[in-house]
Amino acid sequence: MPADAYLIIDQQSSPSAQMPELLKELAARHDLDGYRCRQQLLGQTEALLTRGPVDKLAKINTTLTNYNFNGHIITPSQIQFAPFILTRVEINNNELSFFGREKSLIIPRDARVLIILAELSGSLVERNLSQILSAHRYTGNSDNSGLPLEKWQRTILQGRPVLDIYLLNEQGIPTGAVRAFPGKFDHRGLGEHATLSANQNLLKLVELSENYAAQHRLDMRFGISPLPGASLQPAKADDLVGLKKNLHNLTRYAWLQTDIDSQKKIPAQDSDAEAIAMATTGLLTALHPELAANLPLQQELAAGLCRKIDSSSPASQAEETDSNRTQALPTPPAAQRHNIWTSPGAIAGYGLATIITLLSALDDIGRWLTPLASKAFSSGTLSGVLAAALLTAGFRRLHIKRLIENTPTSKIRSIAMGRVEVHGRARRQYALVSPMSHSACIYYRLSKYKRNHKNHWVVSSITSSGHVPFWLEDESGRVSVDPGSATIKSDHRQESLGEGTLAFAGFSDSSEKWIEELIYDGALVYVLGEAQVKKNQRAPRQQRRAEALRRIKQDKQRLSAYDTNNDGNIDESEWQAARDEVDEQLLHEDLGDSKQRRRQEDLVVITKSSHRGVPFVIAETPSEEKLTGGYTWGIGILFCAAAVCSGLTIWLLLQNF
Amino acid sequence: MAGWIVLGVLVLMIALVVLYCIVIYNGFIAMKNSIERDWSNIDVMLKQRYDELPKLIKVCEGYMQHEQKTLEAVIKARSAVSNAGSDTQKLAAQNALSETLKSLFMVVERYPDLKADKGFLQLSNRITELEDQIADRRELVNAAVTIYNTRLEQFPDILVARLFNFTSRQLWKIDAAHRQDIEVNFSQN
Repeated sequence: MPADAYLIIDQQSSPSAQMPELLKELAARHDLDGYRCRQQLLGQTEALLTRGPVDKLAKINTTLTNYNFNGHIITPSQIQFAPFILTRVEINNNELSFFGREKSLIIPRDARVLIILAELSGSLVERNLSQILSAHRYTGNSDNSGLPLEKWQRTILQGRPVLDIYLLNEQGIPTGAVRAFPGKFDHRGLGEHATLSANQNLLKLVELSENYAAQHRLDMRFGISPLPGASLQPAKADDLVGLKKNLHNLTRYAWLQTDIDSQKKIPAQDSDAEAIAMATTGLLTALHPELAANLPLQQELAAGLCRKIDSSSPASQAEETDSNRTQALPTPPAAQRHNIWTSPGAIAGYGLATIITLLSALDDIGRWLTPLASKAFSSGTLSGVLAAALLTAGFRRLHIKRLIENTPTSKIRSIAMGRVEVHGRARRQYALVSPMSHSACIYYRLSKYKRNHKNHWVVSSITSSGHVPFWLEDESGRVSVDPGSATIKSDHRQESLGEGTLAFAGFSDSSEKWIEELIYDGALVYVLGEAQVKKNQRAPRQQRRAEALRRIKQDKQRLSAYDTNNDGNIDESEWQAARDEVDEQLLHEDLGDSKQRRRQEDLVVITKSSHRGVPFVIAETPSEEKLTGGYTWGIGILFCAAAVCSGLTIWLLLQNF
Repeated sequence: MAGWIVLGVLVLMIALVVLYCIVIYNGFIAMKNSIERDWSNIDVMLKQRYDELPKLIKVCEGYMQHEQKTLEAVIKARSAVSNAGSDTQKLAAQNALSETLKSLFMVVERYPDLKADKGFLQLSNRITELEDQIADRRELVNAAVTIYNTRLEQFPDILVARLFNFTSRQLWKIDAAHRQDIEVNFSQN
């Protein structure tokens, strides 16, 4: 029975618009699991999509090709040999020689090599994953580009690097291989290339191999490419079994890469450039023999053509599309920081404390305060005041609840000015990230607590993003929401002891605590507020007119242009002409501005009503019913508490009389 | 003294009931005004559509020499809107205008040059956008009226509604003709 073939796919960094259709087709026609396929199709390297008979894989590959995916059907080679460990290196003009204890490998000038620079501690995988997660959080899209390529080499060298060099024959089959660990070979063989750094010496081996080989490919994706039998398992430095397994997997990875390479076109690094250079020389010789003698011109032309070809290749176009898709959001305006000690409540507290201190200075405070409090309670005054406060709060909530229920939900594209209720997905207008959990969000409120001398938590500062506008979008359009002064209800809350950690246990001795409430980017949000026309960013026309006329007065050259009778002075009629010209110019500016700002999202903003007492509610909720359900519970609790307080008041009153 | 306390409790309870009734009454007033405002907002959109029509007809006239009937129907329907007196007449005239506009856009399909005209494209897009917004606002009116009518029949709101003579409102209804299935005939005559 023949061995199963593999269908290896070149992953794409972000899902295309056709992805859902492709997944449906893969599931319907080829009986593949859509979820797993999506996982394998997205990424930055290559992945095994499925395995099976070649003819079946060929059909799947045809489907993938229709959706612009490159697939490679390979029959995986058995590992014929593992690389030997490098102990010594020799360089001469025609070849590069690597020596182990018993074996040697010679790379001649016209050789074809596969160079694999790998990292065995897992730090590359970890950093790459962190990069992808950060990209998802900050940009809010599903880009899987990961760590930029220029950072890969540095990350590998900072971890536990290993270098494998495979010599390939014309068919791309390995004929010999060597493995180098930093500091484990005699670096003196590098001659003038040798450095004091073991890692740098390893890099010199890479450079030398690239220089000597006619065709080469450097691969640094071990651990990131999800290929079968070629994964990287986390292993500690002293875990020899784990290390041995990872080295075996590295060998497997290299053999799979040679199989994939032999299915692909020959790497273009040198061959394409050479072909283009030759073609350029040929064309110049035929068309302009005198220019063909100019070598620098030839090189420049060839390099230009290479760049042109690179930029028009599908891969580079895909990269361009990706970069366009990832539109950077602007930095949010500076966060409002409320100093709790200067808030109106705190000032009222200072006043009360001062009065009590003064009174206590006059007389013994305990002598009159305790009986006063006792009298207030026993007479029912305290419970009566409390009942009144609870009833007021209850009725206030009842009013808001009924307002929410009584207001119909508008479609965003047709909202009218005035009180509106809209429900949709909240999207960031600015690159807002919560300070503690570093999550992409449209709103956060961070309260910081400190322990006081009695070991109680007291609020030390409150930071919120209540001034940062966000978009609210439904199926019909989107509108800007300015959450300033809104009652905001978030559904997510995170706590942390100490500095920014999410763990709680074992940190109870920390003197700081954070509580972060946030509404994530993309959450379903309900808004009840007032739709208003956005204020014009431009200064009033009168002000701009005065400014323009002032500039004319200061510019002698412009001023002389209005001096029509050339008497050196600007008389009243000439100055009127200048004023008319400025007016016309400003009118054109305003008209152009009004034409540009036709889209509703640029014109309308939902914000707090200018009338007092009109609620402005922003709540993270899947439905209005759930929100009003919450209000019902709150009202019920408040009215029950008010009833208890009222009952207590009546009982106390009856007791007294 | 106990009698006074009992009386106080009764007064307090009545005050609470009155407060609750005030909340309900204010809610009805707010809803009523909100429905009026939503109707007026539709009128704003209709006015905008009305103002855009002469421009559209002017653009079309240059191309559609053989479709005078259709254009005249649009002009006539537009005049009917301005001449309509009662709400019912206005509603009928607006619906008729929407219908003639649909006919106009269907006829336009026969004039590729007109379809490619930049001015026509802008105006037709603008009118389609306005039509969508009018439809949305009609839905909003219906939603507001439904909430209002539901409140009228709910307890305890019904007590306040009856006390202050709040009556139910009419939903926006389309012509019966528009409810019929459309027959599509692809055969060539």
